[in-house]
Amino acid sequence: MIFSDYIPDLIAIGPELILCATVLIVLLVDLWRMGRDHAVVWILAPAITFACVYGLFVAGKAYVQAVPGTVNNPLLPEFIGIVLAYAAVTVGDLWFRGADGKARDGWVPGIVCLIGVALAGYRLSGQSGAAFTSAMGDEAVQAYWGQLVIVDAFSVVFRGIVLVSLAVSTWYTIFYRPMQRGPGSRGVVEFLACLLGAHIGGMFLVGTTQLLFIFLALETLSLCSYMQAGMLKGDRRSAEASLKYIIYGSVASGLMLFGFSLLYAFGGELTLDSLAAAVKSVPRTGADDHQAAAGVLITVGLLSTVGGLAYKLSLVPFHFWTPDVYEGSPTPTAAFLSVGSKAAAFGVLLRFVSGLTGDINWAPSLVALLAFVAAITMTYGNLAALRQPNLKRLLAYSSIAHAGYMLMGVCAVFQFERDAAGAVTGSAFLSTGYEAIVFYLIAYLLMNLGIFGVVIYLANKTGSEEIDDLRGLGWKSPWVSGALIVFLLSLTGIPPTAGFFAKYYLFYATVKAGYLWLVIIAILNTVVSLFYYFRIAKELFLKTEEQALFSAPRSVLLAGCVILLAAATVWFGLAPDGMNDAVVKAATSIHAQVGR
Amino acid sequence: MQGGPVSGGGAQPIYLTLLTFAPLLGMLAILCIPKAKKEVIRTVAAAATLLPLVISIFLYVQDWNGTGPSHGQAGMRFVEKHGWIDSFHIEYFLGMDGISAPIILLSCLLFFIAVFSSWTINKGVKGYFALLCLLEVGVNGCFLSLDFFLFYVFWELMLLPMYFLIGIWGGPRREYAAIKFFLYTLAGSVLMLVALVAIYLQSGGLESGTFNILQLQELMKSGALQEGAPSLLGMDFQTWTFWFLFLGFAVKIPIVPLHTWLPDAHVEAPTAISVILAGILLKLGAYGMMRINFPLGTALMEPGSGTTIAIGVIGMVSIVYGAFVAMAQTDFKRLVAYSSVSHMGFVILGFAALNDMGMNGAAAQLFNHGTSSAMMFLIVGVVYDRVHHRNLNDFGGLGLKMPYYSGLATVGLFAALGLPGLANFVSEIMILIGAFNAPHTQWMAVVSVIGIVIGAAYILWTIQRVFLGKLNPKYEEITDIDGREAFCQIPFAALCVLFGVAPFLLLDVFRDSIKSLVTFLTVAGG
Repeated sequence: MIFSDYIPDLIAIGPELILCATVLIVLLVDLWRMGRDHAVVWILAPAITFACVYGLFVAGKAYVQAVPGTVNNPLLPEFIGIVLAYAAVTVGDLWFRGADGKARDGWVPGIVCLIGVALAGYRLSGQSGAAFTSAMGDEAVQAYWGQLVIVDAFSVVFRGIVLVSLAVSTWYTIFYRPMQRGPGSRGVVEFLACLLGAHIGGMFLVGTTQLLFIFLALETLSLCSYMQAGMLKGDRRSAEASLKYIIYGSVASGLMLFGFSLLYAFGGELTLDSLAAAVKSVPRTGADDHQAAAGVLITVGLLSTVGGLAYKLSLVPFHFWTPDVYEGSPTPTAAFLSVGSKAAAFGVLLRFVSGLTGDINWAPSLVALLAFVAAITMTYGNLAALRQPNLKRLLAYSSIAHAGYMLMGVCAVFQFERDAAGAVTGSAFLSTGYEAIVFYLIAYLLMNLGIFGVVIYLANKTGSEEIDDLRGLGWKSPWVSGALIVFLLSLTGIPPTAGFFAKYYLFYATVKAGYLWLVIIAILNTVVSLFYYFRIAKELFLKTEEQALFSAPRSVLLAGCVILLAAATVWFGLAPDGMNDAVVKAATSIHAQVGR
Repeated sequence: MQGGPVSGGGAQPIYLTLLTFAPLLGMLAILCIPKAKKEVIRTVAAAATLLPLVISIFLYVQDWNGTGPSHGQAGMRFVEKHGWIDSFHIEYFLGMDGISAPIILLSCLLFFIAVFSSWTINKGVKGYFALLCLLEVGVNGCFLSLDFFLFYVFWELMLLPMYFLIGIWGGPRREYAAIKFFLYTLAGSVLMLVALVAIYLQSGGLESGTFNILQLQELMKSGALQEGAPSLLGMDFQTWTFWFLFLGFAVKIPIVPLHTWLPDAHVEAPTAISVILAGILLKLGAYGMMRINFPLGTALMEPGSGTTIAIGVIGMVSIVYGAFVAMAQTDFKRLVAYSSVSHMGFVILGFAALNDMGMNGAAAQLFNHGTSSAMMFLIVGVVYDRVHHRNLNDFGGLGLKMPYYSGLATVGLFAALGLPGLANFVSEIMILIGAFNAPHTQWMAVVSVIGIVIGAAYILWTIQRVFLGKLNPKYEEITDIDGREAFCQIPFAALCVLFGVAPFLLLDVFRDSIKSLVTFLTVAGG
């Protein structure tokens, strides 16, 4: 097999590869800008790349030949994607260790990244065309590379969310002062490469149903996140964040891998579809000993897997890393962790939980457990946020609370039919649950990215991320602070914002699925959350201009991005129909898949 | 009830949209004006609130005459109905009937006056008037919405401007007062949200549901919403949604155990905002009960049922408790705030009576308390601007130095007291007669009279302490009311007299609407 055979596949690949290529271009452009004559790197970079590509050629070829019927599927390019990202990071890192640490801005690599994101978005919209036109049934699910990567409306929407998160985080990196002039300035390019790599992992994560590939994607995401968290070199808190994140993260990964191994032991299969079929073979009642043992395997396997994902989602009791990591890591990373990473993890959680549990007899218990975790998570997050003096810490707890809200949507996917005695006789999946959670994620994407943008904007001037230090700034930069008010309203869930409609959607789905008590807990939490969100508004506007510590920051381009997000938040609050179409298609697509 | 020509064809009038959104245009215009041009900003705000006022007077007169285009839906006039969020069956649905016509007039008048009474505000003028305009959008929208979701959006839209208006331009404890107001109201409205979600779900949800308030009321009454509906804490669907909605509205009124945000908000808010808060925001809670809450709970609104007795007791307690606490205040503004609690208690009592007389009285009380309480806060504002304190025991003899002011103030205070010949007397006496005529609220009417007596006591005592007696020598230099301040108060004084002498001008407008409401509530299958 020669390379040219793969060229059509290379052209037809998903947006991820474009991002990978972007990583390379970013690094190469930066090398060129340095104006140095390090022949070693110029040789090393292509050499490592070539070696990786070649290795994957061989592996991919073997895989394609071993699995019949997948010859036409382009296995290779996506693998190239991952490896290229890592190769690029490695090479870049090698290079910059030798540099003199002179401050450089991130404009050129940042713009190159954004061009890559735009190209990837273009490719994604190409894929979405096919996935959206017929969002029902099997034909809309395009499988690539031997079922490794699937493209359906669900994955397209989630990858879109991750891609927007990437674009905005990249834009923020360009303006994030500690990254430009502060302790992170020696690693802007590596940082961007990590950001890209993490988002590539996130995009794969929502685009696969194969256990091993899920694990690989998740690790790509995680490793890149760990590195990003520690990228403010010389800042003790950043190093602490990174270390904490790695330690907790590796435990979670181990837990998840353990779960996967049990699931594999149970079903002898690695794809979710086949596992689901195996789950169905366990009868609801009257199981023999062998089947009962299988039930235990799948129980423990699923719980471990959900535990591993709960760590990414920072659900209680897997949330301990969140405040420290958010506080210590660069703000664009915190933005990514709260949005892109979370969206990807929710995507895979939805596939897992609804794909595997629907037919097993303890599914009601699992869903009850999830509902309980949701209630605890939102309550804990909101109560803990009440007294946080640090803005990023507060947002960390707020993101815990929002994960709790969104978990309600996961519970709302299930509807159990019960007989008169209350015993479960059957189950159905509610499309509204999926819709609500996807809608919420999109709204959350806009408002949370926005609020982190405001944090960067204001902290660039004040040099501080303490809430008290923001006092009076609202009068000095009214536009950005006005945008912040929009985000706060949206996060609290007050109309006319996307966050309100998302919450409304979520409550609707949850009541429909029969969890009225959960909704009542959630609304009480909403009231609590108002208190701490508006502590920020209070400092900005209720203090006088004379009390302000700093003059107004000026950064039109960053402000523009934030105001754009605020406008989108209001727009989707007033006209949610605009995005409901994509949301419904995504929900229908996964609903059709799990309902098979 | 529905006289007059029906507007031709499919064309819908846009009076109500204009009435609601003209202030929004004003807000946008204000945001475009440089902040140094304070006079221009104030003028634009005045213009933006004048337009709705003109429209509302026009519509009021049409309503009073029984003319004006009608859509033939439960007596709703000037109806506008467009699709909004189609996937959720949410409509942009505005309409006006006899219940909303006077209260809209009141709202537009109050905002117009509020602009003038805020003329002297010098700090952050641009933000102040922009928020004031935004607030009017929320308030007017609430009174006109016939789509429950739209109503909720407007309802919540009011919170943010109020938070900032109290929090930025308020008194020394403004931060506390602002967040307390926000938290209390939000707590109430999220309960409403749960009921909203559940009712929509029961009406058919995403497949065939509706947010049309009028339709939902019919469905709820016919029992169509009850099938397979979730119960809560042993209460059936209609009961728990009723109480959730009731709590949501009651916080705003406010009823007695939930009222503690009110004195704080009033005392800290700037004068114009107190005027709006007492004059119109409190009315929203009562209006919401009439428009949404009670018709969605017809099964509970049987005269003599536990629910009506509970509501009546709440009203009675508010009347008596509010009056006694008002009597104990030494802060002028706090006194007026507690008197609001007392007077709004009459509205609740009128609701509980569940007859034409009581309900008419309640609707009239909404308007009359709007004018009299607005006036009282303006009275407090005038004297506070001059002496910068509100301690009742530290005044005395102001009538000697400020004769015009004292004259006007006496009209307002006597109106609040319920003096015959002034408007509040009419509404309060109607409520008491209505409550006395209904067997289940008879004893409450008797007890509530205490509230009137105490009300007379604290108001007379106030007049005595502030205007009568020997002039406190500190106030030798005090100046009388100026033209702008008089301009703010005269319309309210005039309305107090006008509707006191000729109450039919007010009562005729909503009589038919109230009658059909009472019929809907009390007659089975009606």
